[in-house]
Amino acid sequence: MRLLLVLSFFLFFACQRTQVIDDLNDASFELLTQDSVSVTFPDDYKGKYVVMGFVYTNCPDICPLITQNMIKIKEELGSPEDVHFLGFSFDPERDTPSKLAEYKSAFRLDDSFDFITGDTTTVSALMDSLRVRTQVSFTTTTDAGEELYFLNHSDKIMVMDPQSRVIIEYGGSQPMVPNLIVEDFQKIRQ
Amino acid sequence: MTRLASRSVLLLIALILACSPKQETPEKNTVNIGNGSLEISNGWARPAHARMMTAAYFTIRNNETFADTLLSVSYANADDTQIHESYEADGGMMGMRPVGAVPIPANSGVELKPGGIHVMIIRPEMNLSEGDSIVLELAFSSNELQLIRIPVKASN
Repeated sequence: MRLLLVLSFFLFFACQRTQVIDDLNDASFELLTQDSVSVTFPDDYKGKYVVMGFVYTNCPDICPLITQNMIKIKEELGSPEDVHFLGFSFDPERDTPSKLAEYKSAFRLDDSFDFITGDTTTVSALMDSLRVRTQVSFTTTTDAGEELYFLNHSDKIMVMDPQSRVIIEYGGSQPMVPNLIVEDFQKIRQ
Repeated sequence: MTRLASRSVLLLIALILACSPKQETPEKNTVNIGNGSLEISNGWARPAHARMMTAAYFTIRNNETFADTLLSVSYANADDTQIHESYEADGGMMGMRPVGAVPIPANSGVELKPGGIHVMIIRPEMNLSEGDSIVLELAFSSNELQLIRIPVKASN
């Protein structure tokens, strides 16, 4: 019953044509890619669709599911040239560009994927704009003596259109999400 | 042989296996323990860069008429290995919390799977790439210690 309700919810929104969830036209965030290249978000991505997932690299389970879903979306869309994929890290203190490069490398991702981060102020502002929340859930000390913290976080993949408007948003780690987003793309492009 | 000695031998074997070159892993990937009283199958681990974080998953079937418990999992070539559970936290967020041990009811099974209970491998010493395999040591309350070799792959 719960699954039915969730599916109905998704289907309802999937049927809405280019509903604008957030308009980022007036926004501007200076960020860095995994290669330490400066980018201005969202300006540098205008003219393309952007599929964006929210992750942190010390997350071993949910965030890889989000990343894997983004890979599935790309594969099922047929790797279109007008779609770029962004993994946004909400853990800027630990997820330096070099860490993001290692994360990208582990998933064997090509140039259509970038992972981005920034200084803590900018990352926090972007998270507020996109209603992404985090909260330290617990800390642990490893056998090697390293203290680690883990985060509760929003579970989200969104799609921004070429005019920098967020038009699609789903729970990022859910297994049905790639199919839903691909169906949405097909409707949008009709 | 005492439990300590048994554990030391298993750890030594784990170290030798873990340091050995990549090996082909049987497709079925099923291990029987104690004449089939416990069955472990469908094991796999996600790829990860060295010194990062990853997760391993597998299914445990308990064919006995009494319950068992998975007490711990360890991977010799990492800083630490812990059993965790992903869950839906307050405010629609996703979270993760430690799980002390995993009960395995009699004549039943437990699936460690993405989005649920998983083994968190903290800071592996080497890159774990698709096509590699790793050896985990599983400790059960029934005094069974078991080594399993599981493939590294992007998804199951």
